[in-house]
Amino acid sequence: MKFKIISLCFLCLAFFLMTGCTGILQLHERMVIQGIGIDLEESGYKVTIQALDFKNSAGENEPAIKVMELKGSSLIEALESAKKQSGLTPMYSQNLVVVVGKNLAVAGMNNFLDFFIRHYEARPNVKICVCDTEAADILSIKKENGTIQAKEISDIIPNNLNSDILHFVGRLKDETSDPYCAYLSVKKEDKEENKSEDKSENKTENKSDNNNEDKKEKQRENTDKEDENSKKILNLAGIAFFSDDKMVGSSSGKELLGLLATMGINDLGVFNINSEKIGKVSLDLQNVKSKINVNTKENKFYIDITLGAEALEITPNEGVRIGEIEQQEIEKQLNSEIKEICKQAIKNALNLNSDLFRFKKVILNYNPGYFKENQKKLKKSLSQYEIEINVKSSLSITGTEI
Amino acid sequence: MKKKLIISVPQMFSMLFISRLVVETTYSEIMTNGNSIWDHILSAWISFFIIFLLISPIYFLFKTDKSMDVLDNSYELIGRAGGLIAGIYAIYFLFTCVHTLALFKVFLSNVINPPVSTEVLLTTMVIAASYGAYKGVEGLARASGIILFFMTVSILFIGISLAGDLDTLNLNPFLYRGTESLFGGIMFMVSRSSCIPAMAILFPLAKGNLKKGIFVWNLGIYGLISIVIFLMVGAMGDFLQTQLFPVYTAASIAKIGNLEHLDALYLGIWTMGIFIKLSLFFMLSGECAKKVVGEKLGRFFVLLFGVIMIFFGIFLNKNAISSGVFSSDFLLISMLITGVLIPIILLILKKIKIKNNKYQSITT
Repeated sequence: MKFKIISLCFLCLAFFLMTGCTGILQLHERMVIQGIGIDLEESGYKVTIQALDFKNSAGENEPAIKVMELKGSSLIEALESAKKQSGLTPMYSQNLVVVVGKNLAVAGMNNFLDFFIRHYEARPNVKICVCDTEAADILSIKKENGTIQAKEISDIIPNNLNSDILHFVGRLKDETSDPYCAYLSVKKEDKEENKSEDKSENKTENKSDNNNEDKKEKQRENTDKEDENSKKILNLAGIAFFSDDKMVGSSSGKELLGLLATMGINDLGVFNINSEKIGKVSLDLQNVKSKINVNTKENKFYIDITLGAEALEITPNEGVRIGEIEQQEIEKQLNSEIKEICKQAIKNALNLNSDLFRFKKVILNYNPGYFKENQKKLKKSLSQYEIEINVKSSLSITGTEI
Repeated sequence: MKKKLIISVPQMFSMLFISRLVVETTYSEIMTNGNSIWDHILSAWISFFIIFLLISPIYFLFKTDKSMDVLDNSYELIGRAGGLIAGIYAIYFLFTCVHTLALFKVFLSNVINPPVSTEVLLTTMVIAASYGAYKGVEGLARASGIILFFMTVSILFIGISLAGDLDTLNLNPFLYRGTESLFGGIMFMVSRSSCIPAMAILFPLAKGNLKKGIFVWNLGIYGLISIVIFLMVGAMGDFLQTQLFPVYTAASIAKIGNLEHLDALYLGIWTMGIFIKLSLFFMLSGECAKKVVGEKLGRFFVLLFGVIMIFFGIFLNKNAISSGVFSSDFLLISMLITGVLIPIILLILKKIKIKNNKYQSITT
């Protein structure tokens, strides 16, 4: 009897739970968003989304990649219009990357970030980056086999750069540091073959056709063709740095290397040095560690950078044999060059009021009383601090004679 | 009447550990009115000692007669008015259930936002918990052992993965914003110690070394809270300020090898913990009812309480957790009445009674 009553109760419960089967959205009813690009326009936001569309599959078990351009006075208004355009419900939990147009980054990030912090499907480890053009251009780059995928954009941004919502918002909320994120750029690369074909076509056309109007029209067509044929290549140009929520600058090349080394971001890539005595040496810089200390009495920062370097390629001057002395010489030159680029990078960032290196946090942790007293003026006075950098590298040369 | 010892001390404390943990892991700067969560590591260790003090009246009352819980003592010492004490305890335990449901509701609606209505999920949870309570303390104790194992493994998983993302620069000096957060943290932790009144009923049911159990339980709770805060602040820094349930967020970024999105794991384990807490407090309120209406009828009161809770689950506002009735002040007062004040009064009455009995036996 008891068993029957309990079974009856559970049966009744099952009726309630049936809603789980009827109310749930199937995969083909959802638009699985993979990448979101946000640009600022006069009327509001232009949002470009790249999503997997399971309703219209591209091949067997392969969803189509849909790129949609949406507009709204707020980010959420723009995103919500995706449903009106496609009839599919957006799903943000699989989003991999947020690309922000430069205009918006300069205007300020606080106005739209709230969505990525508070939406229940948003994940904090989604990568974030700024691009030198419109975000829409990045998400709609054409490739031989279709559009560039958000996964590819996400993969371009290295994990150790910590260019994600978690770190970006964390630094933004922290009163003692400023955020940074990856900076992407689009390069145009002409296809040589097409170019030469076009040129030869031009020549023949010029010979056969003497009509001026026709000529102009042909030329216009050719320039359009060239644009189509020029291949857009997305690359990681450097990092964009911010003062509060506004982008104030970006860095690339050696300055970027200096920033990354000071921030202790591992795996800096290849660095070339040219030694008068030895010749040209290409080094792979890894295992970078940075420790920042402060002396608030003397207004001085001490930055100790240690890194490992592996000589990838050596083109020695004639008659030079790489031995212990030469190895020390390379280390010495590497230390001095890294020190110089770090100094320059720090100076540039601080002049733009951007505390990427969390100097204020170091002061807070070292001397909380001093920090409290000087908190307001500290941001502007940071550039007056003296900075002492010590670089210690250890070089390994593989394949040398014993 | 001598009570039958039906569960062991470790089993009892594993139930209480889970009950504390499900509340403590909902910790956030938003929940604690903007307190600096980092200072709560100090709050945890101060609370650790306060909890020993708060448990002592119940422990000493229990020591006077190990077969009697607080309700037996109240009936023995104040006669039929003891029913009133049982009523107060029953209301407190049910109030704790409502608090837990409110917490579950805000979690579901803000973090999960499931396609199924939260009311349906809450109703299902209450029905399951009522059934768990109806089956009695032995079943719950056994389930707790298994759930505690999964909980420990999942916490270890998340902890190890967060340890790799630690940035020591995120760790601020203690108390640099003043002592407000420290006291706020103590208030938060102590006021949510509903396990103390629960011990007043559970102690006579457990066999084993109670002193050791209390110490290990308390150390485990506050040690774990300290580690969780250290890892969360170290790995997520000021991002924590924006999160309502930072432990859940920490689980969502945790990654071990190919294992990602451990939030699903956390969600499952936490829901199991909620089930144990609700079942335990339903069962305790049922024990109170049994004292008033008798053993047979009392069992059905558990189900009746379940029905009442279903209504609470349905009609509770989704932001009820931030209402005044669940404020730290109110929770602290209600906990102090049931966990400290009533046991102290009963302890004094008992001591007087023992003294009188001794005096009478000497004079006769």
